[in-house]
Amino acid sequence: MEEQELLDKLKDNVVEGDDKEIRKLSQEALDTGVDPYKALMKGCASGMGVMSVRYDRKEAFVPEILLSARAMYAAFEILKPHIKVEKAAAPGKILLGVVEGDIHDIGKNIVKLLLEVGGFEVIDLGKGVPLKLFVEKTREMNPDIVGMSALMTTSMLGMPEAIELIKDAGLRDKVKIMIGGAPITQEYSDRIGADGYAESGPGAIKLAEKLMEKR
Amino acid sequence: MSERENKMTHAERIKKAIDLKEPDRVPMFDSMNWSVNLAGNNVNCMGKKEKDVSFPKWIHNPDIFVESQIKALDRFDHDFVHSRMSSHILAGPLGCKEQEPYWGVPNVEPAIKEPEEWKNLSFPDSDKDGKLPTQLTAIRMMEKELHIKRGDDVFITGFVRGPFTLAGVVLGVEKMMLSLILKPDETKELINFCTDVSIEYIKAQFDAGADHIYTPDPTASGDLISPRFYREFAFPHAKKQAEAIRKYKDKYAHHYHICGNTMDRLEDIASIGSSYVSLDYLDNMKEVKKRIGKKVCICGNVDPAGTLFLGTPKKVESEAKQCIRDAAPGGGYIYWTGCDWALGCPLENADKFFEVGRTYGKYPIKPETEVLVHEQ
Repeated sequence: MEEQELLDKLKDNVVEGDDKEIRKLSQEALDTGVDPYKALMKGCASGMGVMSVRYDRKEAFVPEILLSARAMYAAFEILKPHIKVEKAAAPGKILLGVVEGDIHDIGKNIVKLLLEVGGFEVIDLGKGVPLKLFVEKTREMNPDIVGMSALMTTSMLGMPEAIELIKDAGLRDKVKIMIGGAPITQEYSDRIGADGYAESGPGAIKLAEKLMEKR
Repeated sequence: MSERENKMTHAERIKKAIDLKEPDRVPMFDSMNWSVNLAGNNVNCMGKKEKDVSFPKWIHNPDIFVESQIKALDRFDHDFVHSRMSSHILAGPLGCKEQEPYWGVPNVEPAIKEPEEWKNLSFPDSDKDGKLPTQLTAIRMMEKELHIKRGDDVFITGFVRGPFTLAGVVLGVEKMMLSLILKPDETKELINFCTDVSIEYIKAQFDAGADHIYTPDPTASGDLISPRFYREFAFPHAKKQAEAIRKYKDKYAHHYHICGNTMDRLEDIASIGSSYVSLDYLDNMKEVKKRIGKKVCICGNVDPAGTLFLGTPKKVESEAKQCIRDAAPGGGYIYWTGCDWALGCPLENADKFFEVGRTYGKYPIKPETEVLVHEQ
């Protein structure tokens, strides 16, 4: 298969969410000497790009996105060990988590995937994360950005508290803080002293890139 | 006539709205989880970390819980009181591990890993499992205190999840989203099982004295699944639930709700067969009224986060009035927020929210300009 054809097929199979076929294609890419980073970015990631656009246009929904994400990860697993480190130098390190009291993590997982595809190093604390853990992990892992998400009006209350705790620990100047989730607004972000808010997954990547420039 | 003197009783008002007519004023749904702030001495602990009654204490002690419901009723004069002990009331009994934070709503972990494992789940016992009996006790106590002793026909609200959402809790939402594509038949069986489980507990709540049942189905939102998936996976089961409620009780007994944006599936939602449907704040009530207002009573939808929780009484007043202007004229409308309230919503905002319903919500609804002239 020609390189371009293979890249197109990787892209199509991410869009279709076929994790079996994409494993074969990823292996074929390695076997035929296609640059694995190129296979990931020009093939798979552009498939996720198609899905992001469809998601924003309400042509694709969460089940379809998750299926594509699954295929993307399947390719990622096969290609990643062969990607040369300097090409994948992370533009930044991000600590992600859904604040405590909230177990809705689909949005966070989509943001995580998009960030990883965008080359960010993501430390995922999962869901229902105790506020103190954001502080401890910030100290321990030294991330550039801390990202918090909440889907419930009851749990979004934890965000300003976590920011206070990060301030109290003397770490506020060392990290940028971004927040997201259905009940969150720019107004809320400004009010609680976060550095930014994004409405959608793709928006979160742009925001993360912007915050990195400010560092 | 003072603002609290009314021509209709709570139930008369609700029924009139459900019959798509104008009552004396807009019926008002209640403050749901937020009413924990009225338990014990909690109202004096607002904004503080330490509470008099913690959230777990509230939902495990029907006497404390019911007292807070009656306090809320007396303070706000809404037309409903509720009995919900957890938004995952059936999830625990189905095997989900439930955690109860000190000051927050309970959350749960999935009970099964694959949709076909529903076959291993046992049917909950309404009198024994988890907080199921606690919720029934609260309903019985409210029936006695309010309906019998006071002769107040306020609507006592029972609660289960919509079947699609309950299935998502049992399997885990992310797993279910994938299973809709990868294992559609097994997932439908799981949702069907959850429908049957919910109907059993719905009947138990009616037997205990509930007047109607609130069945939010947030996972069926346009923020998660396509209209096609809604129609295939969520709609038939919600309809079955609605039919069971109507058959066992009456045409006034069902409040159906979906969170998030639902404008792309409004007509489907309107044909579930519930007594009324409530919409989240993202939906434009003027358009909702136009599209489905002649078919079903609608409810909502002041922003619970941006306005009730984070706004000022002034903001609450102006947005609540706008909502009433958009949705109330002509009747067929119940006043509420777009979803459940944040526990930290300030008392003055809660007071203002219900005050607007009691005063500005009196029929005939005046256009804002007239009200301004009147006030001058």
